[in-house]
Amino acid sequence: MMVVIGQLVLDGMAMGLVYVILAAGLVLIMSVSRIFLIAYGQFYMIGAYVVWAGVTILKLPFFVSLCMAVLTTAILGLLSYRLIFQYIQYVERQFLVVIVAAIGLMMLLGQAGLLLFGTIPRGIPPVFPGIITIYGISIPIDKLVLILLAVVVTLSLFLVYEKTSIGRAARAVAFLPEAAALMGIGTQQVYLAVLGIGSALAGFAGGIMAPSYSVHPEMGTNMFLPVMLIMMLGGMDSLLGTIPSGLIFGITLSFGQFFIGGQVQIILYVVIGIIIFLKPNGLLGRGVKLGI
Amino acid sequence: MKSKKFGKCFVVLALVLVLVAGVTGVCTSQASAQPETLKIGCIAFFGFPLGLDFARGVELLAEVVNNKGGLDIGGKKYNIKAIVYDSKFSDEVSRAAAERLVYKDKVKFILGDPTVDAWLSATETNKVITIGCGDTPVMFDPKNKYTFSGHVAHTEAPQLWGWFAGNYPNVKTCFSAHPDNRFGQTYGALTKKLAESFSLKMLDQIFYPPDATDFSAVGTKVKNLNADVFVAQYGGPVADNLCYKAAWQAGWKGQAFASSTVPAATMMQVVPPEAVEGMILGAWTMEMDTPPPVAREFMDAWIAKYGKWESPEIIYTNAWYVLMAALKQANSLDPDKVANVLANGMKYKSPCFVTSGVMVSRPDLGNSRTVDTLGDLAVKRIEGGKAKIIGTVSIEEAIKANKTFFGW
Repeated sequence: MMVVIGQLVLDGMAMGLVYVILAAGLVLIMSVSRIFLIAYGQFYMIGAYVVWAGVTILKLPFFVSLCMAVLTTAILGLLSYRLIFQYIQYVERQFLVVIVAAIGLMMLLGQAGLLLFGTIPRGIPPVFPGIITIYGISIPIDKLVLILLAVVVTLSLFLVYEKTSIGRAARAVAFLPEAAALMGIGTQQVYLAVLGIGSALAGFAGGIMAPSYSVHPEMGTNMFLPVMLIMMLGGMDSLLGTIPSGLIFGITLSFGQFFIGGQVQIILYVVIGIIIFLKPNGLLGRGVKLGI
Repeated sequence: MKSKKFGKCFVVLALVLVLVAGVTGVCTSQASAQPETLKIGCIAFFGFPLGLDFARGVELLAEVVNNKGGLDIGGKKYNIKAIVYDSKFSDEVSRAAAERLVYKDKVKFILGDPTVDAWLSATETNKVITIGCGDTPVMFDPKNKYTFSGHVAHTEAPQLWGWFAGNYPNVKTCFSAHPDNRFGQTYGALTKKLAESFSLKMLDQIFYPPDATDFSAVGTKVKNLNADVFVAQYGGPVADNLCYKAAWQAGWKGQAFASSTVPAATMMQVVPPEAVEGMILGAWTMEMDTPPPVAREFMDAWIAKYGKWESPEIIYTNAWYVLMAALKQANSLDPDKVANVLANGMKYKSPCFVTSGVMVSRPDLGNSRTVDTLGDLAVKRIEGGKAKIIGTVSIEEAIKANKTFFGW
C-alpha cells in the first residue's frame, strides 16, 4: 500500500506543479493588471502546439522548441495587451468589457488553433525515454524532467517577484496602482510585463506537458477551470498561495481518481468551498481588492 | 414582285426554323444524356474527428461516383450531390437539419450520426430512407419502415470480445477505464457486461473525470489490481490512449485490449509505440498489407484529394456503402423498394470489412426485418507502432458472438 501511496503522491505532485505554474501566471496577471484573462488556457494550448511543431515538424531539440513556445506565448500576451486590453482597462464597467474582450480572444485563439493544427490529437515522441523504479514506485524520466523544470521555474518566478526591482514594481502596482504611478512606476509597462510573463508561463506549462501527455485543441479549455479553483484556494492575490493549493489540488485529484473515480471533482469542489467559506481570501490571500 | 419577295422570305424563315429545330433537337438529345442529380443528405457533428471524417468521407465518395460518370439506377445516370449539415451533436440542431433536408432540399436519402433518434419521425413520415449511425431501441423499433443502421461499433464489440476470449483462454480477469460522463457510464456498463458474457471477471472499473489530463492514477490502479486484461474505451483517442500509456508507465505487464478499431497511426499520434506494444483491437481493412479494392479506392481518392493518407475514422462512412449497395440492388430510387432490399439481409462491400457486410435482424428488440449491420472484421496487434493483422472474425462468428451478447 505504501508503494501505491508513494506513486499517487508523486503523480499528483507532477501534475500539481504544472498547476502551480499556470495558476502563478494567472495570479500575476489578475492581481497586477486586474485583467481576467479567460483566454489563458488557450496560451497553454498554443505553447503545447509550438513544442509539438518544433519537435515533430521542424525536428528541433526539445529545449529549443520550449524556448520557442515561451517566446510565442509571451509575444501573444504582449500583443493582446497592446491591441486589446490597454484600451479597455479604464473604461466604465471595466469588468464586463474585459470579460467580453477576453472571451473574444479565447474564441479567436481557439479557432485559430483548430484551423492551424486540425482536430487530430498530437503526441510527441518520448523526449526523455525510460522509466526508473525506486522502491517499487515507477517514475517515467519525462515526468521527472517535468517536475524539475516546474520547480526551477516556480522558484525563479518567486525570486524575481520578491527580490528584484521589477517584482517590487509589480507588487506596488498590484497593491495600489495610483500610488505606484505617483511614485514614478510606469504602470503601463508593468501591465505589459505581467501580461508577457504570465502568458509565457502558460506557454511554458503547455510545453513541458506536451511530451508527457498529449496535445489537442480542447486542452486549454479543460485546464482553465482547475486553474481558477487553485487560484481561489490559494488566494486570488497570492502568488505564494498557488504552491500549496496547486499541490493539494494535484495530489487530491490523484488520490481521488484512484479511490473514488470521477466523483473526485465533486469532493474537490466541496472541500474548496469549505476552505473558502472559512478563509474567504484563500489559504494565503491578503484580501487585496482586485477591482474586477 | 411582291409574291417573289414573299416567297424568298418564306424560304429563309423555313430554313431558320429548320435550323432552330435541329439545334434544339440536338441540345435536347444531349440534355437527355446528361446525368440527373441525386441529392443525398448527411447529418454529422463537425466538432470531433469522427463526425468530421464522416462528412469528408461522404463528400469524397460522392465525387468518386460522379467522376466515374454517375450512379446507374434503372438505366439512368445520376450525379450525386452530397448535402452535409452539422448536427452539433444536439437533438434540436440535428432535427432542424433533418427537416431542412426533407422539406427544403427535398432529399430522399439521409445518412446520419447518432442523433438519429431525435429526427427519425420527420424521415419516417416522409418516406426518407435513413441510414443512421446509432444503435438504440428507438431506431430499431419495428414500426419504423425506412430507418436502418449503418453503424458497426455496437456489433463489433461482442464480435471482438468473442474472438479475444476464444483466442486468449488464459485471460481471466479484467479492469476497465472510462470517462465519468453519460457516455462513459453507459458504455462502461456495457464493457462490464461484455467481459462477463465472455467469462472474464471484471475486477473493477475506474471512471475518471471527463476533462482529466493526467491518468497516472489509472495506471497505478491497473498495476495494483494486476488484471490480466486492461480496456480503456469511450474516452476518445486522447484519454483512452493516455490510459494505456499510464498503465505501461506504472509497470503493468498484462494484455491491453479494445473492442474498437482505432487505427494504429492515430494511436501513435498520442502515445509512443512501447506504450501500446502487443495491444489487441479491431482493424479496418486499410491497415491490411493488401487492402481489398473498395478500401484501396477510398484510400486513393483520399490521397488524391487531401494529399496524404491520414487514417481517417471511417466507422460512420460505412453508412454510405450501405446506402449505395441498397440503391444498386433495388435498381430504383423508390424508397419502398430500397427499404425492401435493406430489410431482407442485403450484403454489401465496405472498407470496414474484409470481404463483406450484411444487414441483420434484431429479434431481441422484436424486429425481424434486417435493420442492423455487421461484417467480417479484421483483428490487429500493435507491433513496433504498426498494425499487424492477426485474424479475421467471420460473419458467422460475428452473428454467434452478437447472439451470445444481445440474445438475438
